[in-house]
Amino acid sequence: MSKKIKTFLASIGILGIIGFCRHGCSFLDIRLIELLSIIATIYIGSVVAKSLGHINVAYGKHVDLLCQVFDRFEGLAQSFVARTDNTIRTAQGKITDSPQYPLFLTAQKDFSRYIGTLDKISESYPEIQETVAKLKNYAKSLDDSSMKATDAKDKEEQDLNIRRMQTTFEQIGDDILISKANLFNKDFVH
Amino acid sequence: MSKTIIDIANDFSPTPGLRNRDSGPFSGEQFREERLEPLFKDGDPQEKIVINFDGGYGYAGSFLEEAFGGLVRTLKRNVVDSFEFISTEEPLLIERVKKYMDSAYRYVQENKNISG
Repeated sequence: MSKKIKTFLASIGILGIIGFCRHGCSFLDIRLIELLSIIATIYIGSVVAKSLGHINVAYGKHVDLLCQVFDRFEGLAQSFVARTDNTIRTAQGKITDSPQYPLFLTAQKDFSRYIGTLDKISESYPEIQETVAKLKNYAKSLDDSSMKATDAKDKEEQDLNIRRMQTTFEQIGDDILISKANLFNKDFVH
Repeated sequence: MSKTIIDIANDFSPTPGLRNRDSGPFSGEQFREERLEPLFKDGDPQEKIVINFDGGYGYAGSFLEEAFGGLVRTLKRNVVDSFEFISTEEPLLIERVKKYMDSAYRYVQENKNISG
């Protein structure tokens, strides 16, 4: 917008305000003080709404981060279950002969390492401590079933323990889903 | 006080096996018999045994249980204080190993009571 047009509009505005001050707004039947209070209310309202928006965005990011923490745990647990299963299934005789065996060890290690990380994260985020405690119990259960599966004397016992791992994994998925929903609900209420 | 250091990934195998020799190479049983038990042949060692778990692919639970829990069952006493464990990559592993040793010791005590 050119400088001339801006000056023209500003002049009209100033004249309008002067006119308003002198005669009030008979058309709208309000006086200047009323108009100013309406403008102030709208302005304060917009500032408050904007700051609440900022808070919600920040909290939304916080929730996203915690959800990613849960997703990572779920992914590693899934990998641990799948690789235990694959290792046993692809073993020709001895389990350690399976080409999947080093991957099974790595999956177990990554999963176990992440539980340590989860512990540290939960120290800073009290709202996930209860879930983390549950996940740690599931992790123990997965470790236990995995050990029983690799120790098993026959296929039936192996399958039973793999199924137990799968069931535990499903429970992990369910609990994570509920925990995520709770976090989002807190976000909504906020 | 000097220490005996066992770095499992370098001194034994980066891919430790499962529980028994029957289950394949580098088992927990093999590790216990070849690396741990000789250190206790003249009673509890004077020096700390440092076990470094870092550097390998990882550990199956059955390897750890048989190596360390199995040692307690073999010696019939809890020797956890003879060890110093290092596991920077997987810190909770130390807790697990100690738990295996404690459980094995409880098993030894219970069997002692039954047979006594």
